[in-house]
Amino acid sequence: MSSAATLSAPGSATEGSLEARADLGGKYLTFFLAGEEYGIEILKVHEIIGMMPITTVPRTPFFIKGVVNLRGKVIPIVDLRLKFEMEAMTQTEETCIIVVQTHGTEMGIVVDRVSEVLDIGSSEIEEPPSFGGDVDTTYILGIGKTDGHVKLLLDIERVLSDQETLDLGALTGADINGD
Amino acid sequence: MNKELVSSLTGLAAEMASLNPDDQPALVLLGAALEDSLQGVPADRPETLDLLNLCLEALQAIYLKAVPDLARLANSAARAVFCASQCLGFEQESEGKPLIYEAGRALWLAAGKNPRACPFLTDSLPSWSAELSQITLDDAASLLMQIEATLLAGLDRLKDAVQHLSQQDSYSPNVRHVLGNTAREIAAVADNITAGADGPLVNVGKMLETALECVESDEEPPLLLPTIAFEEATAEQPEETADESDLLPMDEDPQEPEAEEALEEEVAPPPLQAEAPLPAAAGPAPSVSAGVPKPAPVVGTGLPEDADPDLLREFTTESGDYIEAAEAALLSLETDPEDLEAISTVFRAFHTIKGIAGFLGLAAIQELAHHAETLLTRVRDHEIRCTGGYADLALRSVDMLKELVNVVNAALNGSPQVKPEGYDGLLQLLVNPEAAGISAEAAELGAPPPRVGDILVAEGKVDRSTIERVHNRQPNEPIGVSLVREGSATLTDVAKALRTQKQLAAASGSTSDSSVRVRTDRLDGLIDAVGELVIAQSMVSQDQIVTLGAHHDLARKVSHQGKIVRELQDLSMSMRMVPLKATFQKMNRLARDVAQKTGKLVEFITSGEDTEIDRNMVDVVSDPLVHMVRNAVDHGIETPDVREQAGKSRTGCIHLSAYHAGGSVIVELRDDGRGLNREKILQKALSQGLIDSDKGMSDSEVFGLIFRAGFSTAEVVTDVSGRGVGMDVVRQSIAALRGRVDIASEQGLGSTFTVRLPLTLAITDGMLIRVGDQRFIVPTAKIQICFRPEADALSTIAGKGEMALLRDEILPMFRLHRLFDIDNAVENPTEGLLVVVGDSDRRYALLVDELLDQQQVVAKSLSERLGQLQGVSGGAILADGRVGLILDPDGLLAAARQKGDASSPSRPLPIAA
Repeated sequence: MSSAATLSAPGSATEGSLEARADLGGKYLTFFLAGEEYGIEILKVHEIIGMMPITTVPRTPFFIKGVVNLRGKVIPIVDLRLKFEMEAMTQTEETCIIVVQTHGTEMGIVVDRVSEVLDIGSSEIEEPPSFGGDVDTTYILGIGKTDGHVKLLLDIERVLSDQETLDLGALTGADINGD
Repeated sequence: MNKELVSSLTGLAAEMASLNPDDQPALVLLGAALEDSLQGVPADRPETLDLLNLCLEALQAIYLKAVPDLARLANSAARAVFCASQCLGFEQESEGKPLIYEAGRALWLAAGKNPRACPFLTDSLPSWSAELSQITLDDAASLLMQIEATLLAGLDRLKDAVQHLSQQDSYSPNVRHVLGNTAREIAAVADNITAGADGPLVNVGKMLETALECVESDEEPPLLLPTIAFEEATAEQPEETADESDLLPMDEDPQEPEAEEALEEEVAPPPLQAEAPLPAAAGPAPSVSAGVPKPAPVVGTGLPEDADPDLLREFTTESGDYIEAAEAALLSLETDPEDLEAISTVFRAFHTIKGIAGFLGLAAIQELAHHAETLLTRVRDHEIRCTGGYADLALRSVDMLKELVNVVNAALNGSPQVKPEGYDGLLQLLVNPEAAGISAEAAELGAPPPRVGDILVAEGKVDRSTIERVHNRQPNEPIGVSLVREGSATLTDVAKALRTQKQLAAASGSTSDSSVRVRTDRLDGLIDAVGELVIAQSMVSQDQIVTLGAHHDLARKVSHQGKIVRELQDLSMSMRMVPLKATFQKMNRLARDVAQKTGKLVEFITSGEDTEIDRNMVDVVSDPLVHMVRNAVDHGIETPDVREQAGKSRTGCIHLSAYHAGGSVIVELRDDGRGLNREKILQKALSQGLIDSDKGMSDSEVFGLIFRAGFSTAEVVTDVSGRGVGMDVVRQSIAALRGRVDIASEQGLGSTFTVRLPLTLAITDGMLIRVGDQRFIVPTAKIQICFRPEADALSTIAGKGEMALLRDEILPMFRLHRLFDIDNAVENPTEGLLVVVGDSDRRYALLVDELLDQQQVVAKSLSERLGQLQGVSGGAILADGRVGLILDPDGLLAAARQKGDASSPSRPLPIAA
């Protein structure tokens, strides 16, 4: 997703993450995605639900799996594997949806399996290394090291507020008018 | 000159003075009449015109309930109109200038505007204060004469003058005191102009006369008020030297001369005594005079040590009046809790007392009044009703206020201050009545006989002889009011008796149509819950166990339950339907406004105001209507002269109507103006590049161009017979309501705007369709017909655009599975189903696999994270708990055209087969 990096205002983005990095320590929900372990701040997580039938929504970005009925609420589901351009995987018993709240709206993310809730101190968190243009690290708040394992701490807000979806909306909106 | 105008304005002023701020029709009429009068104001009276315009604004504010104190604003406006009428009677406008300025200023302040920005303030004050400094007692007397001639206008001016005089050292203290009282009397008159002010003015005259006599003979004035006795005792020494700060309590240095000290001791008892009965619960005591640290700050009921005893005395008298008014109003609320005027009266009383108390540093009174005011605000905003516990609370507050004022009075006479019993408890109750279990339910009552007096006697509050005595003295007054005034019964007791009486009357069989006010969020919650219930019920009824027919009894029960649920749903939907009446009235007003501004003659006719619509939609719908009505008057209707030349009547006609049709609400705005000019619109659209050619465009499509955002430029308004302003806003807000707007127009004869809106936004009647393995809902209202085409009914244009022939009509055909990239769908139209959707102008056939079911669904918006999806208007929970997408046929059409467009290579599926 190289477009994502260019789309977020660069100045404010780095400032924001630097500021955030200062007190990154806290509880994280960790989960697996294609063998890598990721973490989301626990406060952002609403609940974890099992896989359920997802209604495909046409004309949305490929990483949007569709929408589900969460007790009468319709919430969109993002497939993180697709979002991170990983290989799609068939659903297993352990596949589940983490419902997170970002910018006041609920959204679900599909992950391979959830792992545990970890307390990661700020001293155990490092800045993500830079890989140049190949690897996009703007979604990574930092890298946590506990028990010799590496956990990629996701800035879930940024992952999901990726302008791409909104741009798509604006695009179609403009097309309606231009018609 | 202008005799007619003056008399009509005077009449208007009288009408406004007796105006009930809640009587909206009357407000509209008044506003219209005032506007009519405005036309007649000659051009050499700009200030008068300004004032009247301000009045008009005030009326609008009252109509919209934009200010907290409607009654005060109405009062000020009435006075302003009266002043204006007086001034129009003068030869020159300058003669009436002070009057205009005063009335204008009062109105400005009443309207809650920034006093600094007041146009009437900047000029008037300097000149008036300059005049003021030279005023003499004789001048004041002549001012009074003038007032008697012009009735009430200029009272403020007289008050200023008298107040100013009362501070002049050149007069003896006695004279100054009489003048001070006179000023107060004038203020009282000014506050009460509607209640026939002749009597009080006579008093004012007498008081001024006394003052004049005093000056001439330099003798002691007769005792006019009991307060004078005190004043005489202390007035030996000049109290104040400041000339303007008569209203500001002065910080007095404890090291002042003896007289001051004596005064101080007499007024404020030792601080210890004051503080002893005051626990911390009395609340934060507002600091009385900022900056000066006091040796022993006085809190609660304590008199602030720097308060002017004169002001305090004035306060107690004034409060007495307000409390009396509040008592009467509260009692009338007992019989009619909806009486808004009474609520306002009580509110005003607390508000005024709070203001003055805060000013004088009487913390306890201020605090109590503040919380009581909060309670009454809730009553006034219809959050709670002034019945039961709430009414009790209001009554107790008034009683407490009375006691507190008495304490202040007693303190002034040197007796120690004791905080009234129960003050803290009451305050706590007021802060959070619900916490103490107070509700609008009436308290427990016994079963006493049905007359108020009898009830009071039976409860042992008053004895019978007292009641008879009081009743004989005031046979025409309600016994409760008399009793309270006489002090024979407390307000609370009388109110309770009234309530008992009412309950007994109700119990004896007279039932009336009653209504309950419900908070809207609760109502919405109920409707949402019912929506979920409907879904849950349909999930049960469509369960295989029920549908397979093996359990006949169960199926019967489920279907019975279904009936009840549907009934419940209808009921809950009807609960939030409201008539369009209020919206239409607003439009009526607007049409008049615009017509007047643009110099057109317009007759505005409405019909179908009783048509009901979802209350969530009422507010939203009024925005586009405003634009449409404004445009119809401004651009649609011609000026009278032009109309006459065109052979039409000089008065244009605009007809706003509403009716139900086919599950929608139709709002129609019809005018007989010049109509839309197709050619000019096309020209403009071509020049702006909005379209390439007008080939094949129906009239309605051409007229639709005016809704385009790019079309609404100021130029267009003049070039093409207008109709460009805000029209894109109109379309957008109507589209947001899932409605649509159509235009029909004939040049020279007028145009008709038809707005079609769904009855409610909450529930959509839909057909469940299947395409491949996906299901969608198509709103039933959008479906015209469904059919399976024969092979020879299908054709293509140049191998591209597909068409279907239906009853000799050629319809473009789009395949939903191609639009949405769905696999495993029926490819051959003769095996699938064509759903004809859209409106008469934009019909097209949509190929789907099959129709599954008809279903009512609760439409839910998809997350905004998904952006604006073309062709999908929302989601709904289907019977199996999955989410189904609701199709938007108009959006689909746009998507289809776009997809067929070669210019979007990212979506490489051409429309051709």
